[in-house]
Amino acid sequence: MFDLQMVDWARAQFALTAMYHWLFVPLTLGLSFLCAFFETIYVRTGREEWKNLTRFWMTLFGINFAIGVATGIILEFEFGTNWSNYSWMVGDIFGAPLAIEGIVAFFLEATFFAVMFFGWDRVSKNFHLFSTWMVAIGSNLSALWILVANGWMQYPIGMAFNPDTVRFEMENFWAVLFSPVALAKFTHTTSSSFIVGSFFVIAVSSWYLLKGRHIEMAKKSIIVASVFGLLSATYAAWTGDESAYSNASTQPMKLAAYEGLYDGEKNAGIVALGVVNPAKQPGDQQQPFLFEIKIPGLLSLLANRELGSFVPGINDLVYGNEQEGITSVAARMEKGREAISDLAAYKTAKRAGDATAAEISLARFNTNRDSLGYGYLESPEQTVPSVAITFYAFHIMVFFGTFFLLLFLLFLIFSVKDTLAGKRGLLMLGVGSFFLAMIASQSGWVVAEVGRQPWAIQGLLPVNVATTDIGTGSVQATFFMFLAVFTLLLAAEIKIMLKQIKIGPEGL
Amino acid sequence: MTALLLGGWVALIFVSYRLSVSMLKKAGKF
Repeated sequence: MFDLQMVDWARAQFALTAMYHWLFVPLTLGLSFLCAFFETIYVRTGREEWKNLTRFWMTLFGINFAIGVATGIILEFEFGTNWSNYSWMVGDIFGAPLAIEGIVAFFLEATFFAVMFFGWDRVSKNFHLFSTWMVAIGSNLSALWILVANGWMQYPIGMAFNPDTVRFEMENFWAVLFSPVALAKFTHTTSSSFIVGSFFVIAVSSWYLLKGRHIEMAKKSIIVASVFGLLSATYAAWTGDESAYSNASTQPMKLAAYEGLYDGEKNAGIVALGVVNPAKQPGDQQQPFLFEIKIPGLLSLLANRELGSFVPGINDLVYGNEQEGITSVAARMEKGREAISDLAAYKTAKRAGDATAAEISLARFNTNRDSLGYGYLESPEQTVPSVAITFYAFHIMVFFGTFFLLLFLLFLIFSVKDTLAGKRGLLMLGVGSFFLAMIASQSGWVVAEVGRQPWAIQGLLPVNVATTDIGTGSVQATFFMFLAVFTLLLAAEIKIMLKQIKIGPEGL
Repeated sequence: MTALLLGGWVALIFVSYRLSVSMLKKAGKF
């Protein structure tokens, strides 16, 4: 009934669109607040140089904003075209935050975006400043609603299953909105975007300092960006820890995968640096790492906030661990299959008008309802995401995140001392820093999304039953079409952006 | 923790602005 290849192409297409979208969004989220800071300083000081500086960064913000919107709209359509079973089953819940994002947050930012861009000489200074802040707040509110939707996929709460419609229906909107996973995701994702935005400003300004152009503007921009970046990197470290802590209770398999932990243990350590053994499979006797540097006991502390506590590994989660009260996937698959057949029996009895049989089937279904999604799995090992991809992506993100703290600090110290212009090595690193920040930011999403495979919705709906029942060919065709269109859009953005950077603030 | 995370987020924005201004003043570039 379901074509597995279709799943692969649908996932590839969504990943392609999401990763392209994520080239533009973090810059929007971070640069919007930096523009608000710059303009607030202009309004406070009344100095024209701050106005020119603000308009320059705002122009680059505008170029980026437009393409971010284009890729985001395509993502929403893919839920309908490629993931219609998913949309059918959870549209009641998942659709709500997406609709609020469009109607409230996006309209807010789009309305004030026009004032911010075209209103410099048409509205008062204070109203223009208000508009700029509204664009920044609106953009980040957009991110909030999208991340609430994503957080719900990672940790589905606040809903009930309706056996008559075979749909999940929302019961508690506030539980969905204030889900601990959603909020950890929002705070971590936006603060990492502030890092990306700050490094963008530092990269362009460093290039100006290397070229000896617009020196005063570049120095001022770097001071503000390095303060924002330093505080954001500190905050992102805290929220990242919160995200991992919530993974331990809501997605233990994801945590085990990105830590490369196969056999659960008390006083579990963290592999700070390692080379994953590509031949290692769940349940076998091979070593998980070809090489590793381990910090003893740290994972137990970070995952459970308790030294010496037990952290389940991949094998515990797949094959069960009676001592720790972990049910095996095989047992849950058995219950899931019973739930599927009881649900079918319930619907048959309902259609036949046999109320007694329907009631019995429904009662039996309800005992195994929580394992329904497991009934669609083909093997217990299917619940293990790619350990290599998640392990490397997670460690790249953490390594760069730590490195960024130091880099922001160096830029702040030398820019305040006004000795930055002579440090060519640091400035060259500054130019490259934006690309490193992009890699770290994309890696974070790889951890989040690859780490929850095979689930479209954690524990409820595997990806292979979430797709639309259409041929692989059409998804393949649109995959390559999108690849070409997005690459053209990206090339266009880079070309326009570089042209504007070469012109500099004087050309405005 | 929810209030702490969200409060921290709002504080991050405003403290960043305030600290930027004081650093600009310290560097004589405000």
